[in-house]
Amino acid sequence: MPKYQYTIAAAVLGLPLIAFASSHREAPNITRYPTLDATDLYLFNSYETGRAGYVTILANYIPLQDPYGGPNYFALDPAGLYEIKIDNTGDAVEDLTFQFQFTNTLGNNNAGIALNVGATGSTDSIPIPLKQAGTISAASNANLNFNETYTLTVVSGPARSGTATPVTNAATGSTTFTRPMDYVGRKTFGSDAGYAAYAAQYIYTVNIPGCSTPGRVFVGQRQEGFAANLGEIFDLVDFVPIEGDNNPTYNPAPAAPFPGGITQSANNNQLAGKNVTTLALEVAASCLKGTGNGVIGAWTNASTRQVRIFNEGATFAKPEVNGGAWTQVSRLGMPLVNELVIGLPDKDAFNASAPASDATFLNYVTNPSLPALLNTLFLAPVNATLGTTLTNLAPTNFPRNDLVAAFLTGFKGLNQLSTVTPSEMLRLNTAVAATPAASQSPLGVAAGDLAGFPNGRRPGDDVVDVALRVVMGALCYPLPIGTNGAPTNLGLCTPANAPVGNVAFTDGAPVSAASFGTSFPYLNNPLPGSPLGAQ
Amino acid sequence: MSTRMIGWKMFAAAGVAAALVAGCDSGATTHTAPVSTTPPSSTVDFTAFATQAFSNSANSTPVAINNLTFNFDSNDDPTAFDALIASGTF
Repeated sequence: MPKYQYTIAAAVLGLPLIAFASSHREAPNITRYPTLDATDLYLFNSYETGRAGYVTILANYIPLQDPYGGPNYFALDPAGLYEIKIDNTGDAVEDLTFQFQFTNTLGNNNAGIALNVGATGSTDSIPIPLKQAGTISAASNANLNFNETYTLTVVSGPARSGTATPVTNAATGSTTFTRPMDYVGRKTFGSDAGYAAYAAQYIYTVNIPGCSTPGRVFVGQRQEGFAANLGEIFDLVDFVPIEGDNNPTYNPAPAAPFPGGITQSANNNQLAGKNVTTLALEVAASCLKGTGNGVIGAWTNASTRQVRIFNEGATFAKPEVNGGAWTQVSRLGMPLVNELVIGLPDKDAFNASAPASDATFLNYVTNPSLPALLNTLFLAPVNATLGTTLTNLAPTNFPRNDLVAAFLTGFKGLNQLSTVTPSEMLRLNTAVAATPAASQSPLGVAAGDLAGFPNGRRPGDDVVDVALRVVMGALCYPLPIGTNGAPTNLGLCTPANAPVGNVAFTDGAPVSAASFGTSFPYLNNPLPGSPLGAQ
Repeated sequence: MSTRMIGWKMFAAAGVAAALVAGCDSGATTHTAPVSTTPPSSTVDFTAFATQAFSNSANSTPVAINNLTFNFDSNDDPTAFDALIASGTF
């Protein structure tokens, strides 16, 4: 490892770098609508035993949920439209859309569970203030005072003009599904196992219109799976963001550990105590890939009606009224794009945009500001520390075709659709066999695991570290993706273009497949709201 | 007007009672300008606009508003949106 690579880390200490939070509160406007805020999208060939040939899609919403956030916890927005969109032709327009819409009702036939309160003989029926009136279990939810149900519709063709057909419960034919109550705590649900059993009964096998193979759906609270050293990153990067240990996963050869660099520790993951809400689908790959080359692109959107009128006399049933066209307020495909690439003035516009119009944002990718910012911040300290005369730390290949490939087109032969329309989405080659959980690399393709990010994204992929390395020029160096892991030059740029492109940048917050379950919906059961300390 | 309807009167006196999700980039100027009973003809009455937009179908294209300037003559009319409240859904 060149000497200057070590010194860059020292120079980074105490200086601003970049804020990574996959898509949690990433744009000014969406912070006003947390229930519509998409936080992470996962797309991968299912690696659950016996589920080869299926694709799992997980769309997470409502960021940074404190498990103890009662008494109302984290219902999805009944005025919202949550969508997962699939492009299987490469024109950057959705060919399939899965639409989730939610409805809330109170217990006791929507009147709310009430208790008789008062002196003997003259009691009044008084509604309780909580969402549960007692314990809840897989066997009985009679004490639930708040019920959240949803419909799932699949649209063939463009989301607003295609053919919409409801998804049905394969067992009952019903078009209405139940979302389990959030994990209030162990007293309400008995134990972690009790909550797990309660929630698991709401994993549905479903019949999907136009698909002869049943799929699965689940919507519910999960433990946050995204891992990041969030607070310290926001606090002017209060650590040395280069691997500081001889860690074969995070500091693969030929790099070496950096003295003083951050080391991988679960304690660095400041999202570990949070929950999130997951919209989970598993669909046969054959039903997603259409007539294309087997690569699919996916993204998730949340929308609300264009006009909202607040009700001065708000009721549970009508706190407001909503009308007009569905208007998109959240968009998420590849992780970190709206954080890492899009400039602050355009973040809200990006959330309102569609992949087909991504030419609007092209300059952000071809001429990214982040590496230039890093160069401005760190070049002088690096040279002062090293006594060198480096002229640039940021990659110098313009336009940054390495980033265009990573974010907008996919990589030819790996995850590029048959028709190439530069557009931001998460791309998955459904023909690449899933890597078993025990064999997955958190660095995905960069470490020779072709079934991982950026060929889709699995819960155990460390997208923070991968994205940071890529933006600083990792793709200008050979990757171990050839036969038997042979180093392969992608031909997008050269090491001379990226002087720190082979530095093992990391936030020190590890994540791997071992952190998660190995069956649908993969993400862990949520953390309990109580007892104190259980988070 | 029923008691229930009366209970649904708007927030108009307190400001903007209807929120256009897509934003209102020119609204700030209007908010800070002196009250005028004869707004420039180039401005759009917010109440009428919102009422029209409210009636658009869910699958229609959202109305572009970046180039519109609104006037808010209904700010002091608590009944301006009563009809929509009564007929609209959550």
